[in-house]
Amino acid sequence: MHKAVAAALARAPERISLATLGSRKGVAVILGYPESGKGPAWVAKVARTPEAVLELAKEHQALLAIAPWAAELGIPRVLDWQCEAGSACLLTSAVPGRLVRITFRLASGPGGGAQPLNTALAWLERFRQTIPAESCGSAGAARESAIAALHPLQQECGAVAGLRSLLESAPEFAAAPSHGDFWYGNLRFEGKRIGVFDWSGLAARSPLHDIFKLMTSCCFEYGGAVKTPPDVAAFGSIWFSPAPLSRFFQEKIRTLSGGEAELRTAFYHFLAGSIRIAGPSTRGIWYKIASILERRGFPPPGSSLPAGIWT
Amino acid sequence: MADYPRWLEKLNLGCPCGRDIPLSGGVYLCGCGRKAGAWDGAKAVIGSPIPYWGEIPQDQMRRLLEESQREGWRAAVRSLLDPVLCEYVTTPDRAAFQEILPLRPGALVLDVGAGMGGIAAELARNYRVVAQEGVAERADFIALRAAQEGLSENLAVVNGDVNSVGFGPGQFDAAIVSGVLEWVGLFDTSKGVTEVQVDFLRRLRGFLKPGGLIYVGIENRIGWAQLRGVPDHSGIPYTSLLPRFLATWICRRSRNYRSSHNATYRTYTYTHGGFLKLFARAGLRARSTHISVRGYDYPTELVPLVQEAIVTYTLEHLNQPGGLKDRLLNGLRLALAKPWFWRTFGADFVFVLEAAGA
Ligand SMILES: [Zn+2]
Repeated sequence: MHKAVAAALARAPERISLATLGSRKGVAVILGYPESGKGPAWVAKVARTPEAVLELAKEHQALLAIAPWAAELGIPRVLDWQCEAGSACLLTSAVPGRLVRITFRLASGPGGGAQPLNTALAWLERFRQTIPAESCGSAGAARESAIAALHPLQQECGAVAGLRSLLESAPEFAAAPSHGDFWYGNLRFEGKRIGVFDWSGLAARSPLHDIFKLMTSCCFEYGGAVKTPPDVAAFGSIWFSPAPLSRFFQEKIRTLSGGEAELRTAFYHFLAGSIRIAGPSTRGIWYKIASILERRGFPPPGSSLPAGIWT
Repeated sequence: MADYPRWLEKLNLGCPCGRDIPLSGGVYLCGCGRKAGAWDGAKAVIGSPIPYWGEIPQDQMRRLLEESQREGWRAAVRSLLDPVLCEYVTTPDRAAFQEILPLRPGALVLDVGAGMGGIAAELARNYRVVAQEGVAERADFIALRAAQEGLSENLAVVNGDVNSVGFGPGQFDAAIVSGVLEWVGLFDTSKGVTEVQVDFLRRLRGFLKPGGLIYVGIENRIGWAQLRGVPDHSGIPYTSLLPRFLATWICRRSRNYRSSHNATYRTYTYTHGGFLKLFARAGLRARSTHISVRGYDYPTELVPLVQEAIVTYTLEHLNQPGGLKDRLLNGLRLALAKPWFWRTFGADFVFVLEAAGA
């Protein structure tokens, strides 16, 4: 047990039961449930490898940067941070509320179940208006680091080189604060309020970035079969087909983007980020998507592509 | 020739004559003249090693040791073991329970039946660990892996059978008993299985400092894996569910029986209540109880038997709400997200035990 977790247990006025939720990128997630009360009181993230410590330090920095707006936006508060050679622990308040799976079939659109989706999109709007983009770093730096991180992946997939040169030559866009991993699994709903966690990806990016991420996480293939996003065909159908759900998103996106050129840049920046961050098993799917789009000259989302090219 | 960590000298074995035998120098001698064991350059050898048994045949194990010496243990494991076993031996996940185990940095931990050292090596990054392992080849592998990982300062290997390695009282902060308690009945057939298990736990309790803990990872006798027909320790499905006499009768007659040196059913597991009774007989009580959803071998997702925690876990692991079947299944899982159901039918248990008087 990390000593920061032990200290949190010792401080608590009542008995706390610990639950562990596995680890992501080498960071173990531990929830502290008080005997009374609904839901966990706090969340501890423990890193025990140098890479995981780096990842956790990023999240700690991000939470400090946006701390002034934490209460307003349902962002965890930092309760403790301990970092020494080889290990680190970040203790934060828990985000209240429940997980809501926002999943839709492309063919039916969001329909009556659009409420949590709208709540999430409204939160993004508020987030953008509340937090100054400067507190999340510069967009130029985010772009540079994305381009640099793509470099080693060129060996594995030819299309990555094309993606990289596209980003290098793309016009600058107006930067906004961006969560970086804004999918429904990182949101908790309590009525119309939501809380958002996992902040290690906070940066200044295109205002479209988080919407793209949310879209990919909640769309799945039409028909009976359930697919895990991002499945190649499901993915393609969201961005490049006139399916009802795609139209719903595309309208949202049009209101935010400053025109087709910006939409295209933002989309390929998102695609590059997904390739960069995806684990080895899902990276193959993104490579395939990038390759198909490269052969089409990197079209902007919303273009119609021939049916069946994704399968 | 590798040296042992200095702190090992402060540990004692207990001699039947009542004196302490310090684990220092090359030979462990008691004042009464009895020789308890010796340091062989890589490990402390106590008593005579038990006959080889393990995940792989003995000749393959010897090849693994040779290649580990030449190529490094990770490369050797990758080239000689199948992917499942390779993952089992190398993953840090097997020690993930350390996040719920209340130990100070540098605490002294005894890993009982350390196997290929997956847990011991991981714990040695934060604690001082004595890895006890009965099979000589496996003990050598642990020592080699610790040396190559630069962990020898924090990890000492003791090669000796679980029942013959007797430490002096009050020395350890914790003992790790992961996938071991169910097997101890095989190695002592002189008395009833439950008696062997109680004695084993009682002995371990004696090794602990005041406030010391025993971590136990083990199957639920009637867990959902057992009900689904996953093979029991006997190698035959459903034997844990049967009355013991019936399980014994079946094992005597089965040709699929897993362990050759055991002609009867001696790998007892228990229900939640049965475990608590067993622990109480050994003077122990559960300080915390978790269900290890991925099994005790991969204790990365540990759910305490607390309503809120069970509901949260269940909600996060529902199926994507695709068809009617998924929706029904999800509904059922939510309806059963109750401590009584998880306690009764949960997969594997993870207990942290303390002395009942504490
Ligand atoms: Zn003696």
